[in-house]
Amino acid sequence: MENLRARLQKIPPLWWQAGLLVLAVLLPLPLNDYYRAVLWRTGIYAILGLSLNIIVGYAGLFQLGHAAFYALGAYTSALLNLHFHIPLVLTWPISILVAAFFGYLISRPILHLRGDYLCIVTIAFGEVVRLALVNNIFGITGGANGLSGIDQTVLFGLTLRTPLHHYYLVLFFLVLTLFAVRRLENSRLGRAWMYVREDETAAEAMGVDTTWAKLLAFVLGSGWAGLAGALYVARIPVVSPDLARFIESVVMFCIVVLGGTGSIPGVFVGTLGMITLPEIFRFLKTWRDAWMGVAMVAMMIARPEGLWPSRRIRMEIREKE
Amino acid sequence: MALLEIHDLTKQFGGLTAVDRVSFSLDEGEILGLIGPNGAGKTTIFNLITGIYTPTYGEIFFNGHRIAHPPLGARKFITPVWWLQWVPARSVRERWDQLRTLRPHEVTELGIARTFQTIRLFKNMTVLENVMAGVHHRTRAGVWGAIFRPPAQREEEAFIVKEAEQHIHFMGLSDYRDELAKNLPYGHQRRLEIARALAARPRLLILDEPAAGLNEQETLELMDLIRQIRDSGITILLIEHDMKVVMGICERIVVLDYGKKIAEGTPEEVQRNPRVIQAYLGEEEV
Amino acid sequence: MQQLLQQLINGITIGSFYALVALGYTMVYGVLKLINFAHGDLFMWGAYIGLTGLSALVALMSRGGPILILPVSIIVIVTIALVGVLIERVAYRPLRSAGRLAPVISALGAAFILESLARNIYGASWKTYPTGLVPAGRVALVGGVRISVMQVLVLVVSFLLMALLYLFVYRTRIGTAMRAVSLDHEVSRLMGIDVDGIIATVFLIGPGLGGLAGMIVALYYGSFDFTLGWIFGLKAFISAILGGIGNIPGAMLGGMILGIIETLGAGYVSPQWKDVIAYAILILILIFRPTGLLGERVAEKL
Repeated sequence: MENLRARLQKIPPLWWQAGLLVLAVLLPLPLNDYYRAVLWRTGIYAILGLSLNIIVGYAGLFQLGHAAFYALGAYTSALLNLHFHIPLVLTWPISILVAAFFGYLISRPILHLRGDYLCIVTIAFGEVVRLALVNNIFGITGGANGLSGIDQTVLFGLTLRTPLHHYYLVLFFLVLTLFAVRRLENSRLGRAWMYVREDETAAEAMGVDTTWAKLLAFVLGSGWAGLAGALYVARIPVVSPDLARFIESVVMFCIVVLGGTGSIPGVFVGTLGMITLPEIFRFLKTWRDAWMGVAMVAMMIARPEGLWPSRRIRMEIREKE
Repeated sequence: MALLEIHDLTKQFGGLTAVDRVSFSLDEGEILGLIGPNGAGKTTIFNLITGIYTPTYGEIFFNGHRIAHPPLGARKFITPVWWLQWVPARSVRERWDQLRTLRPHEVTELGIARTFQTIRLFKNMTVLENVMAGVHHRTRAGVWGAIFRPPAQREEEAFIVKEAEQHIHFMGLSDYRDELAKNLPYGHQRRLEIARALAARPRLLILDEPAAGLNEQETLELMDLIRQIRDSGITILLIEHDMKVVMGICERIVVLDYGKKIAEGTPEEVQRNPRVIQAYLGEEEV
Repeated sequence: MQQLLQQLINGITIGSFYALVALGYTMVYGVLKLINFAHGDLFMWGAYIGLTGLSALVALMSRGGPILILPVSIIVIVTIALVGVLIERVAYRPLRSAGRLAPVISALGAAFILESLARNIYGASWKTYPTGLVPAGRVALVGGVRISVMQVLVLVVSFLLMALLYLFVYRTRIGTAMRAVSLDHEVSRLMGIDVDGIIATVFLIGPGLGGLAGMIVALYYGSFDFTLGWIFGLKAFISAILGGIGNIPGAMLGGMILGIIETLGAGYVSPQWKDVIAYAILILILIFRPTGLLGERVAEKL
C-alpha cells in the first residue's frame, strides 16, 4: 500500500484523476444489471462516507448516528413527492436542508461533549429518529412499513429507469462531493477543523470559534447524508425506518475509520470493504457483522490509522501510542 | 484607564479555593510579572482571564469590556435576560454579551493572546500552519469561500500566509517554515508558541512560564524578545519561575501565595517584602 | 393507586435487570475509562447459553423445576466470565495505551462479533425458554397489588447479588485495590497492586453478573432474540450514566430509576414511546449533568 501510494504520487494529479473518472464512467458498461446496482450502492455509500468523514475525520467528532440523517433525507424526498407531488429532482435541495437543519438542532447542545460520551449521545439520537419513524410520528411516516409508491425520477425530461442511469446520477454527485470536500480540506475552515482535532484548548485560545467549526462540520456532514438519502429514493421507490438502523450508522462509521480517518482515498477503500465486497461475495453478507467486527478489532490493534490513511492523521494516531 | 482590571477574583474547585479575592490591574505598555510558589493559583488566573474557567466570584475587565464574571446560575432562567442572545437587534445582543463570561475565542478576538505552560502546539502541523491559526480570528472565509474560492477568499488566504510569515520571521523561525512543529527543538517550540500568539495581533500577551526549560543563552534571547514585543506596543503579563527573568524585565510584580495576593510592587519592593521572602523567596533561597 | 403500585413493582423488577447489567458497564468504565460495548452482547449470550443449558437439562431429566436453574446459572456465569476475560485479553489489553478512539472501536467490533455469532448459530428467530421452571402463581400483597413468584425470585436474587458486590468492592482487599486502580493505574502499580490482575477480575465479575442477568431476563420474559443484547445493553448503559458512570451504587440507583420511569412512561404515556423516553433521559443527562446523579464533579486539569 505504501509503495502503491508513493508511485501514485509521482503521476501528476490531474492525470490520474481524469483516468479514474474515465474508469468510473466505463466500468459499468460490460457489467450486468446486478453489478451495476452494486456499483450504485457503492457510490451512495461513498457519498455517505465522505460526508461522515467531514464530521469524524476532519473535526474529530464521533458520530454514530449518521444513518438518521440519511433516513431523514430519504423521508423528506419521499414525503414531498407523495403529498405534494413535487418532482423528485426538486426535492433534493430540500432534503439537504432538512437533514442539515436536524444536524444543527441535534448537534448544537451536545458539541461540548467529548469522545465516547458524544458517541453515545449520537447513538441515542439515531435511535430516537428511527423509533419516531417506526411509531409513525405525526401520522405521516407510515410506521414500520414505511412509505411506498414514490414517483420515478425525471431529469431534464429523461426518466431514469435502469441501474445504469442511476449509477451515472450518483457518480455525478460523487464527483461533486469529492470536489467540495477536497476544497474544504484545504481552506480556512479545513484548517480550523484540524486545529480543533489536534488541540481544542489551544485552538480556542488562538481565537478559533470551536463551536462554529464543529457545528459546521456537523451541519455539512448531515446535510450531505440527506442528499445521499434523496438519491436512494431516486432509485428505490420505498423507504422504511430500516434506513436509520444502528447497524447502518456503524457501517458508515467503519467506512471512515477502517479506510483511514480523514482520508478521502480511505473512504473508498472502506466502502469497497464494507459494501462492495459483501455484495459480490454473498457469504460475506451473512457473516457481514462478524467480519466487520473482526476487521474493527484487528485494525485497531494492527493498524489503527486505517488502510489508506491521511499522512497527518497517521502521525496523530501513532503519536498517542 | 487600565488595560486589564481584575477585581476580587475568586475561583473554587469543590472545596479548594485556588484563587482567593485577587485584585490587580495592568496598564497599557507594561510588563507585569505574576509570581508565587507552585500551586499559588497563577495559571488558574490565566485560565480565568482567557475564559477557560468561569470565576466563582469577582470580575475581569479588559479595555472596558467585562470579559469574566460569576455564572448567573439558576437565576438566568428566572431573570428575563437569557433569551436575549437570540434577539436579532444588535444593541440587545450587546447587552447579552455584557451579561455572560466571554468564551476563549471571544477573549482572543478582543485582543488577548496567550501561550501555555506545557507547550500546546498543533504538533502534526507545519510551523506556518501553526502560526496561521493566530490569523484565523481576523479573517472570515467560511464554507462558501472554501468551495467556490471567489477572489476575495484567495486574497484572504494570501493575507493569512503573509501575516504568518511575518511573525515567523520576527521570531527567527523562517528556516523552519515548512517543518512539523513537533520536530522543532524545544527552545524553538517555545518561540513558535509566541509567534502563534503574536499572529493574533493582541493588545495583551499572556506568557505562562516562557523560559521554562530554556538554557542560559536562550533565556537571554527570550528576555530580549519580550522587551522588543513590549516596545512594539503590546502589553505583557507573565508567569515565570526564573527570578532572573522576572527581576530583569518586569516593571511591576504581583506575588501570590495559596491563592491570595500577598504583595505588589516594583522588583526591588517585592524583593524586600518580608512576607514574600517568607512565603517564596526564602523557600527557594534566592 | 393500586395501578401505580403495580407499575412500581414491575418497574423495580425491570430496574433490577438494568442495574445488574449496568454494574458491568460501570465497573469496566471505572478501571479502564472504556465503554465496553460488548457487555450487552455478553449479557445476550448469557440468555442463549442459559437456553441451551436449561433445554438440555429439562430434556435429560424429563421434568422442569426451579432446582434446575442453579447448575445452569453456574455454567452461564463461568462461561460468560471467561469470554469476558478473553475479550479483554484480545481486544482491549493491546490498546491500553492507544488513546481513546481505538478501544471504543475495538469494543464495538467485539460486540458485532458476538452478535453475529449468536445470530448465525442460533438463528434470527425468537427463542422460547422451557416452561414450568418457576411456579406461575401470583402472591397478593396489601391493597390488591399482586406480585408473581418469578418477580419475587428475580428481586431476591438481584438484591442479593448487588449487596454481595457492594460488600466485595467496599469491604475486601481486592475491592479496595479495584477502587485504587480506577483512580490511577500508575500509582496503583507503584503501590504494588497487580493492575492487569485487577482488570481481569473486573472482566470476570462484570460479564459474569451480566451473563446471569441475561438468563434471568430471558426466564422472566420467556422469549427473546438476538437484539436483546443491544436493547438491554443500551438501557443498562443509560442507567450507568444516570447514576454516574464509574460509581457502583450509582449504577444500582440508576437502573432502578430508569426501570421505574420507563414502566410508568409505558403505562401512562404510551408503550411505543418508552424507549424514546429512556433515550431522552440519556441525552438530557449528558447535556446538563454528565457526571450523573451520584458522580462527582471533577474539574478538568489543563
